[in-house]
Amino acid sequence: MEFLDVAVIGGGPAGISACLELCSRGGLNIGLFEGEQELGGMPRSCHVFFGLRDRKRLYTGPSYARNLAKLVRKTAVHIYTGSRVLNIVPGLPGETHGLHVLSPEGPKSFQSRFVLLTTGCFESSRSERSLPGTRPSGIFTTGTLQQLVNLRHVKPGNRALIMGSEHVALSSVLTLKAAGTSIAGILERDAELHTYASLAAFMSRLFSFPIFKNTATHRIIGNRRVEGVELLNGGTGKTFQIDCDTVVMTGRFRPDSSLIDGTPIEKDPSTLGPSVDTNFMTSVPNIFAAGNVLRGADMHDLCALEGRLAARSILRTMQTARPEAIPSVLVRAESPIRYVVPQRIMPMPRRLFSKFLPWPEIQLEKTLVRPTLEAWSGGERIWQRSFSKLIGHTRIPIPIEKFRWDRVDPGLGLTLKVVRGV
Amino acid sequence: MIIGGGIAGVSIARELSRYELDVMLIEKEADVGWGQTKASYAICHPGARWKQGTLAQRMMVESHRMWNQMVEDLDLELSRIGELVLAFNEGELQYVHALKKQGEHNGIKGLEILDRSETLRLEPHVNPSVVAALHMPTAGVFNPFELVFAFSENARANGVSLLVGSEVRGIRPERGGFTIETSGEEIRARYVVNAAGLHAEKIAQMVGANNFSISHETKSTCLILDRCLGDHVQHVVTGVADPKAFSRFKVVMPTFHRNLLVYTPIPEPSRGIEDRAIEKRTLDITFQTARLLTPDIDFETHIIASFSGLTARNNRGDFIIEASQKTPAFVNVALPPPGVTCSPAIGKQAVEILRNAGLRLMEKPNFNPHREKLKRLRDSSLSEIAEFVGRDSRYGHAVCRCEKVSEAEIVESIRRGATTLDGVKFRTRAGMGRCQSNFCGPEVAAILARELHQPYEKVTKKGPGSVYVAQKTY
Repeated sequence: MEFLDVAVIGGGPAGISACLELCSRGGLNIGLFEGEQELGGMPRSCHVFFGLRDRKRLYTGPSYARNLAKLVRKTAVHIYTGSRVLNIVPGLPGETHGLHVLSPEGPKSFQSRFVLLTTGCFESSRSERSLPGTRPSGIFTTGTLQQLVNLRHVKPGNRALIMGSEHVALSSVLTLKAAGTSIAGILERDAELHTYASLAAFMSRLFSFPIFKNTATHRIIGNRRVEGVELLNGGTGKTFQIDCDTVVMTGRFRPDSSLIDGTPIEKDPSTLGPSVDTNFMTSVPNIFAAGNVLRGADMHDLCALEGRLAARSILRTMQTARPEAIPSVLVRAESPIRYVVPQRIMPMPRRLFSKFLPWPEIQLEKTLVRPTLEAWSGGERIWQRSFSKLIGHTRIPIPIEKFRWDRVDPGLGLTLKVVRGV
Repeated sequence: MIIGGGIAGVSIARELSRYELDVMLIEKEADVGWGQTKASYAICHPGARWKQGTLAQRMMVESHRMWNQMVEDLDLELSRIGELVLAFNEGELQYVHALKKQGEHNGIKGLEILDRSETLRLEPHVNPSVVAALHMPTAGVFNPFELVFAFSENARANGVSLLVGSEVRGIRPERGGFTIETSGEEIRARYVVNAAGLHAEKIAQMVGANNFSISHETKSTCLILDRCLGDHVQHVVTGVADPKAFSRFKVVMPTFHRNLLVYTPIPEPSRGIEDRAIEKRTLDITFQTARLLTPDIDFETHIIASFSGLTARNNRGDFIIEASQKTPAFVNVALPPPGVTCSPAIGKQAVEILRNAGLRLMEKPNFNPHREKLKRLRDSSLSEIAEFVGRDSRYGHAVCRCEKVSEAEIVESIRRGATTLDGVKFRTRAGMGRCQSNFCGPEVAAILARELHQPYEKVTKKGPGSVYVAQKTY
């Protein structure tokens, strides 16, 4: 049994950034646990632009990951790579929390005063997207694609169809081109792309591939390896076939929150990650969570900033005798708001946040034109703002310092809704 | 020669391995159990649904006498969680009463009709409009893959040779036996057991022993849900799918590994015997089943896998396990459901028929009935894990993070016969979790390549033609 002040689970941008911030206070016994052999997380296998908002310069993914790893290795943080946390055993209030960790040296138990979950996310599998058809080889997510191309140096297939049009779809175009795979097209079910339309159009001209909007997957064809995909145009109702030997499913991320299953740590059914308060604390005192484990994927630099803020919250909590001096208020979101993070908020001064980080934030199911966002508590409207346009599936900050907190009924909680907009 | 490595074939192989015989099992896929068995819901039926006087019912009664010993000998994964048959209206209530009567007639113990409140107490998530339910406490769930591997591993350990990835192309009856033309070499055998499942009619035709026909007009679709919902349903919960046929029902149940499983048989002409494509329509109907039986479970969000399979039903509506009248050394085995539940007795029955057809059976003095299953990291305590890692440090390397599968388990599964990604998955569960091999796929492929001394680009998902990646680039 080993004792720690803070156990950080997950050595990606959020986890490492949190460790760096925690080191600003000397004398703490900090452990960083990473299941892979190397630190760095997702950026290790991702080749787009990194580091803009947290490191203030541009890196490629692998160099960003190496840079973060180098920084944390210079600190006094105990780094456990190749060490998979099997489970968390939350302690009773006031007690330490247990961790069981597996590594080639054998299983080890730790007790830690604070735990920070930074386990990231992954992309939904095929069934979550209910793709009909056969189940051949050659269907990958972007995460798998990046691992194969950038870490294993293989060409996944000869011709690939990309499903989904979030930013990551464009990243997978670059990954596929780097491997020498030709692109059969990008497919989006909605009428609008979920990324920068002009950049997508530029890439489509550069690498000469079509973009199919308002088009769904009708069936996947091929018994052994993918032979093609039959697509259904939502406008005309007509089906047509694209020949390809590879399908890349992009986007639709979900938190890797399996460590909280079976624990009293509350899960938000709309994000599938742990629900947290404005200080990144979960429903269990002194267990925190930050980064993409809170929601589907966001940019690594925002995760890094969240990791830092969560670390500062941990340091603040260490100093306060009664951490929950200001009670949190539960926030609910109504459709078309997909989710709100954090799920419990409290009035906090803006200076405690990063100006680059939309926090608290919401995401919309789809892009809305001329919407008005409102916050209600009981029968009282406590905040309202109109926008000319809000983009779907991106982070929208909610300025809680503008809320009329004096009218908030903590017992009833808050509801965020869209009252106008198409 | 046994043709077909489904549950019937491997069970017969294991039973024949008790005797001084030269036995071979031939399977066209790269591994055993990849036909109907793989897509089975793997319920261990108590046997209320099958009429007395049928061979299926007799096999069931005999199998239930054998299962406990089987589970012990072969280290099988079976948990007896019980079944609830729900009735939502007067018609279904009558059905449930009729099922109970038939079950009692078949000698099943512990059957009782529960009223609405008792049903909801046992299963709080079932549809509250339920009127009553039949509780069958002896029903259970298997791990279907484990079952097939257990039979085949034990058969191999006792001398049966296994030829996978080889298809039977033709059979020539000759004096004193048969010559079997395969996609590889020709093989001579004195006796042939045709356990080819969906292909049984085609194989029987090769020797003119096709006095039955196989239809494959029921396509069933299965949904597998994330394990975080595993405790929402404790029993095998079934509903009435076809009031005329007890043996067609829809299911929501936990699997042996506590994933929720939804299953609906849908009569639909398939596009041929190899058609396992998931149809949008059947997927929708399966979701409807789920919502009907357990409406407050969020299936759409928590689905992690879905697949479809065909069910072979023969024109006699009962098990066929018999020697061909024309060529008695050729034994046909054609099983409608519940093949998995009846597998121990099916093996015995086929061996009896071979004996009657003149096969001399001499017991092997050194027959070993025991087989040990793979030691799973996730089923082990910390002290057990410490012991495993002490013996093999690869137990300390969790490759599949969702299902907590170690490198040592993957290596062991390859030693036991896995040659493909699916082979590793069905033996170890690597890739069966929430991320569906999103994270571990590339590493499992690397372990396969290393252990089988193959280049990475030769690793397949499920045998020839299903390569995982196109080529090594640099």
